[in-house]
Amino acid sequence: MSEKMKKAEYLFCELSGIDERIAAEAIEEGGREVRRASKRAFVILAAALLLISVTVGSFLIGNLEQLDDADGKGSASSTLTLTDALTKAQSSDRVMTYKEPEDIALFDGVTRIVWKDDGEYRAIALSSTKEEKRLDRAMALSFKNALSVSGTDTELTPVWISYGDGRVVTPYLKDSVGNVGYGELFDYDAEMIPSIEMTELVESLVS
Amino acid sequence: MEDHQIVDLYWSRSESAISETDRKYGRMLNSISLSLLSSREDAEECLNDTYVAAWNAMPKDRPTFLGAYLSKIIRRISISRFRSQHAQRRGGAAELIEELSECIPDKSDVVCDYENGRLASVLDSFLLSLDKEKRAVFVRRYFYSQPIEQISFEMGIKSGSVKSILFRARESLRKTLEEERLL
Repeated sequence: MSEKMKKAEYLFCELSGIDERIAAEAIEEGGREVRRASKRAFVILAAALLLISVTVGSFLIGNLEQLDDADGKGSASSTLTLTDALTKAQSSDRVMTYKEPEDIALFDGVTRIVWKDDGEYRAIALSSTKEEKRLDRAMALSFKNALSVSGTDTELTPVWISYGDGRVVTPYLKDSVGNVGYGELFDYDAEMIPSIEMTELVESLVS
Repeated sequence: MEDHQIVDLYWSRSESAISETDRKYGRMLNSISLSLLSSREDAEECLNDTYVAAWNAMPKDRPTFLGAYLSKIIRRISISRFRSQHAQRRGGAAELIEELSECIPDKSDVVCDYENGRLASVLDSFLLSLDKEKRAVFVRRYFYSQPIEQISFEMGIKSGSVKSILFRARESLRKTLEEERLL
């Protein structure tokens, strides 16, 4: 290693010693920027999850009666769980299979529902704004209507939603900024059971 | 949970200290280590080592900014592992070190202060000389090891602008190190 690179490595190491207030402020500074930026970015589907969930959730819940009359409570509800729906979905042409999670594009601008099954990863890419809006609605209602995971002995298939801009969430965790991952399919302990809307969404995507 | 509440758990030797830490900061800390080591297994080991180090350091330490405090620990542990790896270094910390090599003054005939402990205080002064946004970009890239795309997304700045900010900051740091006769 050249002398210059040794010094660069030393400099890199010494950055561990910076004042903690400077380090803490840098992460906080980004958070404030996201809240300002997300009002613009929401229009192009690049806003932060928190503002998206509140804004979309308020919009969807405010129009819930119209949406439910169209295709919600009036329709026959599925008795399948999300795990069941994903298992059934595997035979669909829309489902892509990947050996490693790193093979799944998380930054290509495409929203995907991703799940892990028997050591492999499978994904359905959403192909239209309409499908993305249905996903947003399903997630908002999932947070609103979610059931407690306690007492559930059914094995839960790991599921993630990748928004194509690096953000990754799961319908099995409560809606909070702390539950947004970035750039990877993270491990988690389920906090809630997604509601029927998520299951119906998956069924409709592959039917 | 607020940081001070989690720190109180460490001080009272509560078993939930680690789980609460992991709940609040686990993903961020894992991202730092993964960015440096490019190996999930190594990153997971470093994360566990970090929790052990935090458990042993508190009480005695009572950090105000728990996230930054833990980030420092995992950074040191991950860099130590990176240095000890015999395999050819690609990606991760190697990429960041290569970027920072631009900050190293070219003049080799100057007698330099290399290891007298001044560098840390000079780095603090340099960072405080930057405006808030530029400082945040620099710290996110070289302390938290965040990818350019993540910085761009989370700060609402175009990735081209992030790269420009980093380039100018590295230039400025190089001049600072020259003036301070460091490295």
